Amino acid sequence: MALTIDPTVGVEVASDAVARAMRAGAHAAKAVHGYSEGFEVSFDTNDVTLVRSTVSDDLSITVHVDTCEGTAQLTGRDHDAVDRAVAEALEAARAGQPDPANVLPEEPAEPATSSGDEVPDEEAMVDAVLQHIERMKADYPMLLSDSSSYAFSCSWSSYANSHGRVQHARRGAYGLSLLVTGKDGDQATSFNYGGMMGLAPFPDLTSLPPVRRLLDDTAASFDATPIPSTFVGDLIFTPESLGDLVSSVASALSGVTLIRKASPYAERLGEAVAVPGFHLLHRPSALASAPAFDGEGFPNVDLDVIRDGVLEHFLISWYAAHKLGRPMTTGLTDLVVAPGAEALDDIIASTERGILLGRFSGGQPNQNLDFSGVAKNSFSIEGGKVVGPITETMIAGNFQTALQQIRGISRETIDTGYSCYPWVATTGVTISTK
Amino acid sequence: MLDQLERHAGHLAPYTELRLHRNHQATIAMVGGTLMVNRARSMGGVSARSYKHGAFGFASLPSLSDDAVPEVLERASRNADLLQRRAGRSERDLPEAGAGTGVFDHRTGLPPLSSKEQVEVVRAIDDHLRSTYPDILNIDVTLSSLGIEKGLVTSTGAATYSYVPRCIVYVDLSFQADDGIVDIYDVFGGFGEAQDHLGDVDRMKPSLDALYRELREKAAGIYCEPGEHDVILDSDVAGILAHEAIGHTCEADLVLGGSVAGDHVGDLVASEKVTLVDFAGRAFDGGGGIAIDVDDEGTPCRDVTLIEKGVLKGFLHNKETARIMDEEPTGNARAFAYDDEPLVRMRNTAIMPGTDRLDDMIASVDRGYYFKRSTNGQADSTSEFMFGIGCGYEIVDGKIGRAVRDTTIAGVAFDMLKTITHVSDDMTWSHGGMCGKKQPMPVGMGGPAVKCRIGVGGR
Repeated sequence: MALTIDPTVGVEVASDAVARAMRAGAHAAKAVHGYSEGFEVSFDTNDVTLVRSTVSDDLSITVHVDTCEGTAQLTGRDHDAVDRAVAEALEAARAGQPDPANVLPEEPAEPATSSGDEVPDEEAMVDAVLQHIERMKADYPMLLSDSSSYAFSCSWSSYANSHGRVQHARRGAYGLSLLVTGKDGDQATSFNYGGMMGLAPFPDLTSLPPVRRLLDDTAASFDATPIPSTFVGDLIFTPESLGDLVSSVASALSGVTLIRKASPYAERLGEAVAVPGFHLLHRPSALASAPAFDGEGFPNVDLDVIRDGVLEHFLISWYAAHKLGRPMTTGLTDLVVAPGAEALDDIIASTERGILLGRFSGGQPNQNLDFSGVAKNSFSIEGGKVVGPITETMIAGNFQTALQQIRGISRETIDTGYSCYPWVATTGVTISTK
Repeated sequence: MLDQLERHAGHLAPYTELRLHRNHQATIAMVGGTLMVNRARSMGGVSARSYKHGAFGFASLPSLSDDAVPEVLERASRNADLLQRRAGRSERDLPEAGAGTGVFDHRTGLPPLSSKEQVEVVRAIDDHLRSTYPDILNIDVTLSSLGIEKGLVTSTGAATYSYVPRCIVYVDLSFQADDGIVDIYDVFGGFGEAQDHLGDVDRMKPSLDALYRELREKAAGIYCEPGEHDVILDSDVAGILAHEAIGHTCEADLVLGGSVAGDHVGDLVASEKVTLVDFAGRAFDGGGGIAIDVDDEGTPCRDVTLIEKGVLKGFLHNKETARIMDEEPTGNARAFAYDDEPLVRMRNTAIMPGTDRLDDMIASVDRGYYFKRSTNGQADSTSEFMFGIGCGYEIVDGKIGRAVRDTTIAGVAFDMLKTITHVSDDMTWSHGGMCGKKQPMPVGMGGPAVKCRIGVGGR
C-alpha cells in the first residue's frame, strides 16, 4: 500500500495544532490526531462484491478559554485548514459556558505502543474470502450471505495537550463481519450477524468458533414457530445477546449517566447488584479491539467493575471525575464477563421452561433498565432440552433484576475480540406470544 | 466542487464514478444544565469506484485537492484489477441508467446562526424547562446539524452537485417516578439549517410543555399487557413501520440476501388501503426529511412504489442489483461519507394517506393502545420487525386512557399489514430518521395514522 501521507508524525501534527491554538488565544488546548489505512473485501453468497481501500487523516482540536470549551474536527493537516479549525474551536469556546470540570491532565508523556501488522497481504485476504464462499456453498448451501466483509486497518493515534502530555499508539487489526440468512424455497430464517476482530489475519474464516456457531445456529432456525403461550420463565443469554445486557448496565454505570442523575446504581457502590459469582470486568488487556489510550491520553488499563456481584467501580472518565468530584477510573468500556463453573449443557438441562436468546431485537432499554423486545435467532427450552427455533416471541423484564436473578454462568466463553462472554441464565422474564 | 470534477470527467475510464464529498456537522449538547459538547466538524475527501471485468474496486483519500484525484482513480482501478486477478471475473456490463445532471443546493440562503446563537437556543430550551418545571429530574438538549455536500461525475456522463442540510434538536426529559426513573424524548427541527428552524425558541415552547405533560403521564403510567392487540399507530410510528417493516425488506441487496419479499412480487401483502412509496426529491408534498435528485452512482432518482393498494410491486435498486435482477436502477445508491461506497438505501419512505379520521379510528377500538412515538426499530429478512415505543396510551371503550411505559411492538409485516383496517387522511414526516446499514444515513419517514393488530411487549 503506497503512502502519500507520513503516518508516523501524528504527535508532531497534534503538538503543532496545540501550539497554533495557544498562539491564537486558547488558555489550554489538546489535539487528537488519527491516521489509518484500511483494506476491505466485501462479499455476498456468490462473490466478492467490492475491494475497497481507504485512507483517513483526521484531527480534533479542543480549546479552553478560561473554563469554556470548544472543539473543531477536520480532515487533513494542512496548516491553513488547522488554523481555520482553531478559529472555529475558539469561537465555540467563547460562545460556551464556564465549567470548572474542563481541565486538562498534566501527567507526563506515556511510552508509545505498537501492535499488529502494518500492511496486510491483500491477495491472501481476497483468497481467504473466496475460500469461505466456496466452503459456505459446500457446508451451508441453504445460507445466503449479504453485506459481509473481511477487513484490515492500521491506525496511528496521537494525543498532545498544552501541558506537555503526549501519547502515541499504532495498531493493525483484522475484522470479519458476517450477515447470513437461511433460505429454502419460500422459507426464510431471520438474518443473523456477528463480528470478530484480531491482531493476526484469520486464515480460515469459516472455521472460526464464533463463525461456526453463527452458521450452525442459523441453519438450525428453519421451521421456527411461536411459543404456544405466554409465561414467566428463564432466559439464557448467549454470548452474542449478553452484550445487550452488558452495554445497558455499563451505560448505567457511566460517568455521564451519573452526571445526568439517571443511574439506578448511583447510590449502590459497594453493594451487591448481582449474584455472587458474577464478575463484570473492564479488560482491555484481553480484547483485540481495545484502544491503547482514552480521550485524554490515559493508558487503557484493566479495572474490576462488578466483582462477585458487588459494584466496585463506576466507569468514570477524567472529565466526569472532575464534574462529579469522584476518583477517575476509566472513560472506556472494554468489558468481559468472567466464566462460571457450570457446563452450558448442564445449565440447559436445569431449565424447566425458557428460551435460549440468540439475539435481542428490542427498544432501547430505559434509564430504569426495563427491556422489551423480540427474541431473534432463539430457541425454546422445555424440560431441560432445546426443542426448536422460535419466531414472533417477545421478552420483557429488567436488566437490574436479571443480574440479581442469575442462576447459572457457563464455563464456556466466546471471544470475538470485541468482547468475551459466557452463557448466562436468569429467571423471571416475561416471554410472550402473539 | 463540480467545476473541479468536470476537469477530470472526460478522462475517466469506463466504468468509473468520481466523488468529492464533505460532511459539515455541528453538535451542541447540554446535559443536566452543563454544556458538555460544543463541536464543529468538517470531514471530507475524494473517492472513486471502478467497475472492470465485472468487479468493483473502490478507493478514497482524505483530501479535496486536485492532486488527490489521479491517485484515487489509480487505486480504485488497481483494486478492481486485484479482484479480477484473484477471482477471474468475466466481463459484465452495468445497466443503462441515464446520467443525472444538475445543481441541487438546498440551503435557503438565510444568514447562518453563529456558534453563540446556537448555544443560546440550546440554553433557552433548557432554561424554559428548568424554570417552568422544577420537578424534572434531568434535561438533555442536543442540537445536531448535518450538511452533506457532494460533487459527482461518472464516465457515463453524470455531473451533479448537491448540498442537503438537516438540523435536529433532541430534548430528553427524565422524572423520578415511585418505581424508578422514567424518561421521554422528542425531536424538533428537520430539513434545513439551524437558521431555518431555530430563529424563535418561543414557538417551540408549546411543544416542550406538551412533552413535559407526556412525561408526567408516563411516570404515572402502566405497563402494557403482553400479546396481540388492536392498536392505532400514529403517523410517527407509521413512518418507521414504512421504513423498517417494508422498506428494508424491499431493498434489492437484502432481497438477494434472502428477504422473503423476493417471493411475493405481485402478491397481496397488505390491506388494499395500503400504498407505500419510496420518494425521490423531497417527496410528493415537498415535506420529505431528505432531498435526493441524483444518487451516488449518477442515476437520476425516481419514485418507487413498493406496495400499491396492498400489492407488492417492486424493489429498491442500485446498478449492480438491477443488473442481477434484470431491472432498472431506481436511484437508491447512497454513500454517507467520502470513504463510503454507495449502498442500496431508502430515501423518503411513506405510507400514503387514506380517508379515515384519527378520532374515529380511536373511537373504534374497544380495548387496545394508541402509540404516538417510536424510539428505535429493526427489520428482518422474514419481514418480522420491531419498534420501541417511547410514548403511548391505552384505549378503553374508544377513549384515550392512561399512558403506558416504554414497550416494544412487533409483527410479521406481510401478516400485520393485512390487518390494517383504517388509514387516516392526514400525514406527517418525522424529522430525525437516521438509518444504520453498515453506514449511517439520514432518511425521511412519513405516514398517516393506521389502525392494525400487532404484538405488544409487556409484563
